[in-house]
Amino acid sequence: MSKAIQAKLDKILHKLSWLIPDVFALPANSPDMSAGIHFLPVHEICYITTDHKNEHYRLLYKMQDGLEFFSNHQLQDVEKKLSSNPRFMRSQKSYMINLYQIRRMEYSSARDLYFAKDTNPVSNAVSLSYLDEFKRRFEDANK
Amino acid sequence: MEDKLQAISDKLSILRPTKMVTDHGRLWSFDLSNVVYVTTYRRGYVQFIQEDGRMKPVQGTIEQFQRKFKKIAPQFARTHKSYLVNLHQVVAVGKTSKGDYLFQFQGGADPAPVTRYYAPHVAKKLHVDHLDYLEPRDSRAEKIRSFGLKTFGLEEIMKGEVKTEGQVKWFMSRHGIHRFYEKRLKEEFPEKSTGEIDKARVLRNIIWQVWNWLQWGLIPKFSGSIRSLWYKYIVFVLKRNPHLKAKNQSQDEAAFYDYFNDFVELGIFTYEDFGFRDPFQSSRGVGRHFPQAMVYAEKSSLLSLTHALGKKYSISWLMTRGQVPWITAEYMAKELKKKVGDLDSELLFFTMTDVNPGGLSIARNLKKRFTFHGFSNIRIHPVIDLSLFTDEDIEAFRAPLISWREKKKGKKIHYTFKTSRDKKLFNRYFEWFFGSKDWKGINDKRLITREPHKRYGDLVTIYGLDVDPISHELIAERFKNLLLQGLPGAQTSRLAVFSRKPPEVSNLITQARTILEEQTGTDSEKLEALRELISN
Repeated sequence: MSKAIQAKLDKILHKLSWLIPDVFALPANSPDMSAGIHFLPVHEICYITTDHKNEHYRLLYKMQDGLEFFSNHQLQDVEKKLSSNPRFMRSQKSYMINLYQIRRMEYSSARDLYFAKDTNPVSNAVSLSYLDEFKRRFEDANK
Repeated sequence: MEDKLQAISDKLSILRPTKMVTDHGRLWSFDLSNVVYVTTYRRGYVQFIQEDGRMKPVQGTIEQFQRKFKKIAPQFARTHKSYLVNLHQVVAVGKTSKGDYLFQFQGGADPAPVTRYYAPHVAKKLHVDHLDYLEPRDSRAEKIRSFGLKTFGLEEIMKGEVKTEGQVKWFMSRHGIHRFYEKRLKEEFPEKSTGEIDKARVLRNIIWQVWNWLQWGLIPKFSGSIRSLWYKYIVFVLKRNPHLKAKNQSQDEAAFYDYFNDFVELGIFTYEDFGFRDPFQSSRGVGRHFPQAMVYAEKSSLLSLTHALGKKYSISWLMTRGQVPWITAEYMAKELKKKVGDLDSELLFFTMTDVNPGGLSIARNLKKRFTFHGFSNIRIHPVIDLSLFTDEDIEAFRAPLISWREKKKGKKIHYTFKTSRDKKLFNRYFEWFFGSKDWKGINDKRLITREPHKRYGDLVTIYGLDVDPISHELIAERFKNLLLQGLPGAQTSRLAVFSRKPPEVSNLITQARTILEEQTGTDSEKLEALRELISN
């Protein structure tokens, strides 16, 4: 009896966390070097990836309005924070994507994804090793 | 199971609109997720500030709502004696000059203060370690923050609204600090205690803003010296606010250069990023064969000598008046890097500076500046020292630097000074003369005098010597000895090659031309003739 209730409660929690995440906002460096911490609403994040352009390693947060934010965190730590959020999944070694922000999908060696307003796809945003999980989660998201 | 139920009810409560009693006893339904924060209004009332900046007065006290929201809206947290903030609405955290924090929101709501007392609790709720900075720590960003910098119009730039010429012009007239009037300057850059305009902050912010504009491509690079920035942006501000001016302009300018240099030393930008020209561009050069050795002089009277020595031994040479400016060091280091390649290789600096504390500090700063640009292994060889002077020279040319009285009281020696200048300079000059950990000192009897006095103590004076009286031949001779000690190859092998006359290229060119311009003969024949010429 109690097991059944437990399972049901889990389901309810899962459904609710689609609407209300545990972690509402992720901290990032402010684009203004002279200010402190900047908070990014998780639902507006398209994807999180690693960035090596500027010599040192950092995380890049792409937002739905096209803005980019950065932080010095590890992708693993962010993944841990977003683990209870069903919108997000690790789709590649260096990518974490928001399933709700996907606008269009193309087949490549795995999958290319278009997010929100982007005109160019993120090529191989999903790699082969994560493809099965991605299919399952994507279906779950579009039920 | 309990915690799961609790979690579910927490989440559900965030969704639920709640009814509140408003002013005049009317009921009014709130969507709490739209409320940015709750703050005090008047006795018995609080006001709810909403996303668009509108406010709604409601009966009750902050404590009451804090208790009430604990269950129905856990996203609200107390940040201040009279503030209850919806943490889901927080966009950024700033810092006030007093060490407290400021929450900033999107839309029309004013920022809300966070006191140090509530800060740890709030940080925990926001899933960050603390509100000061983001772990891992970025010390450079922190230092910039300590300058009290503000970035104006960042939102417009990030949204890509500033593109056409007109938009840029409008943007610059709206956000340019050099266009602000006194009232706005006072609002944006107040001094901590007095509330007047903080001049250092204004100047730093203008430099910061100009750099940002350069980054965003709003203005082209400068083509003149660093003064062009001064005249274009800062003279304006000082003209408009005369009470900010120092006694004379050179003081202001010196301060401005210092502020600019702070940024450079932090590694935020370089002089080259701005496109400034080096004031000593024509008084330096990189040696062709021995760029790792450099002869340096601090006097313009020695310019011709440094130039000649640089040419003769094919080494690098540099002359600046007084201290080496950072901008000159930057350009010189860049050229040296290109030629030397390996940053760890040894650099030999032969310095020609006065025999006084100023000369010592110039040589030290020269080393410091090149170390900053990545050269780790620098050795300084002072060319000018006392061995170049005869006793009569010293007697005739020595100039008094500083004097003091010293009196023994038991084991301690008491020093007294005539002027405050002497008192200020004493430590530095004393170290120069008697030596310290990394400086062996002058310790020469000819440069110190002692007039004994029983009552007031001995009057001690130390003297310095100028380079100018020494003949250039003498300096050149001593330099040669030093150079050959440090760089034995300088005279023999390489220079022999260097002194040989180059092949007569001009002759070759005329021959080639005659072949090419010949009327008779096909192209292939001409080519073969050219090949022969070159192989010969």
